[in-house]
Amino acid sequence: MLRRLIIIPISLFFVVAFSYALVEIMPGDPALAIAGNTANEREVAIIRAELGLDRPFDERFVRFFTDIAQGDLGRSFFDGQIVSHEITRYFPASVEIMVLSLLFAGLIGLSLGALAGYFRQRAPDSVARIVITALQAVPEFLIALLLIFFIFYLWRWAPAPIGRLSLTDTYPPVVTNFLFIDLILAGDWNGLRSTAHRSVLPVATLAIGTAAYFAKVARATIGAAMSSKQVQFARACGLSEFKVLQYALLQARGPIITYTAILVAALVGGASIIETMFSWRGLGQWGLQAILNKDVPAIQGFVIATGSFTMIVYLALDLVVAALDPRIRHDRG
Amino acid sequence: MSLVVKDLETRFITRQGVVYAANGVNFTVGDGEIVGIVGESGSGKTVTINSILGLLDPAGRVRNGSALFDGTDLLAIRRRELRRIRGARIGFIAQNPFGALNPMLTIEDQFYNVMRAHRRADRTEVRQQALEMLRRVGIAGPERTLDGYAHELSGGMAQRVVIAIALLLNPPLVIADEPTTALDVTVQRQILDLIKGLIREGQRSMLIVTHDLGVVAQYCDRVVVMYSGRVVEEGPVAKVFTRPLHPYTLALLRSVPRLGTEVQGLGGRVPDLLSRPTGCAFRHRCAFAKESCAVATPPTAAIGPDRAVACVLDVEREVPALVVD
Repeated sequence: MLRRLIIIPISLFFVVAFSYALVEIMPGDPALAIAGNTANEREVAIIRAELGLDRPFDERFVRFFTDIAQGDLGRSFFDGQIVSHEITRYFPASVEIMVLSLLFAGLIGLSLGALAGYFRQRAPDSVARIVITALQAVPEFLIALLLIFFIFYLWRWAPAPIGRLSLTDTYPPVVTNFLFIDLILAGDWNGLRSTAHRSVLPVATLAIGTAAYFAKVARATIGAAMSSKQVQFARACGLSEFKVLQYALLQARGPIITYTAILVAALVGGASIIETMFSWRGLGQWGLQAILNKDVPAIQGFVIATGSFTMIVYLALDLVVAALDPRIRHDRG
Repeated sequence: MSLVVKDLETRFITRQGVVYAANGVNFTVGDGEIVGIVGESGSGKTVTINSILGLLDPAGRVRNGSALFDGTDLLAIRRRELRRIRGARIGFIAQNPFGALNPMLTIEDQFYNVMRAHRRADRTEVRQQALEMLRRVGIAGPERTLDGYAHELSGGMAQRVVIAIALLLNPPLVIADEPTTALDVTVQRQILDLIKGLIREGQRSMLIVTHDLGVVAQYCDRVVVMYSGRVVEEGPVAKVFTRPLHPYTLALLRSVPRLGTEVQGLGGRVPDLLSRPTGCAFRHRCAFAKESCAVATPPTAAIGPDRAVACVLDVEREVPALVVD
């Protein structure tokens, strides 16, 4: 366990270094981008000096790491905002959409996968396999467009994809930066209803796309468990099919949790296109904008935030899996 | 108790085609009898017991036949009724205890689940019975075993737990699928002695699948020899082993290593079961094969009061006696 904890800062160092190098070697000059087309060379040089870009590479590199070690991620090249503040502002929105989508995706995907796994090689399995393959083949942005077209444009069942609250709603005072929680804390039930309504399309988009992955892993693991010796013995002992399925689920639990953790890590910051399409104003949308602006400190902040989040999730995964599996639990004790 | 299996035919539908795994299997297990099914891998031993117990893969189908267990046809009753028989009236001893036991549940939970599948019982009651069973299968610290998990046990101990679970509800028939092949050689005999003792003591019957002729010789009353999804010979162990009537049985017995003599391998391979066998399936490896062997599957003929063989040869005269030194 201790070894895993030591590995975290080391891998984080490599993530940061890699992202720094990546931005360095990328073509394009942020000073030029900020100054705009009409600026002359002197103006560009001033901006470059302000940003510290005129210093040699090694000096900037060391500065960068000392700052990060002190929790200072710098200011955005683009709008001068403090990057660490921006991250605390946008990160919760990404967590909210991730949690909601995974909840629904898990519900749909695991049921579908369990059905297919239990009835493997029979009719329900064939149907589920077609559904899973179809869902995996459709890119998420297309799902989003279809949902927007039908559910918003044609049928008007959901509001326009223009943000988390309507123009007439007022944002609650910021307490946690989680909009749902802040609305509840403010007692703004109309606002809560409004944002829940506006969450339907983006959450549905991500949930549908992610459900396919859940279904796939559940189908494979539960299917394998159903033909295992363990299930055979349970049946030979006369256990009910309900209990037998429970045994299979116990066996499939580890891989499914592992997969969930991977999806948790992937969806925070990784849902940039969907966040942008629905103006969700989450970390992914912010990170994507930073990349388009070649906003170096913001990109690096984004990489560090998502990187550390991923590592924390994987650490938690190890702990959970170990706690659930008596074989691992005992090895340690 | 009696188990009468008749004309059992089981097929598997696979991508490669239809696998003819059991092609008319006949045998009986009488009251208080221990019957061994022997044969090479792929001879249909395990498929036969899985068919009887309704434990086939989804690809497997019983096409024909019956398995009368005290008059009830296990192949014809509803799944729910079969479930009530499994575990309660037919105990099952699995091949690999670590594959069979649930690694995520305590041993006590597994006893509890089996008991609750058949009877109303509370935890303390089940615990008492489980402790009693574990003592009977020779586990020294039954309390500790019950509170622990399968991975904390040795192979022999884990198999004892499986036996205890199989006998928990006092079934009159026990089916064992290669119960010792996954274990160390040193504990195999202990486990087999234990199983036999418990079977005799409870006046139970047992059907044991094995590829080990030594196991059959020492622990069984009767033997059923299977080849390519058929029973080729059946009879009392003492008679079959001293005077085999089917060339395959003879070859099997000759392939057993004996001190001071050269092992005679069987030669050839088990035929693949992707095509329905025509004629005698063993003829390609048989030293006594004649042209007529290819024409039709040899019918099973009774030899004396308690033996049967499926071979066209006049076995009494044409198959030589096994030379045992």
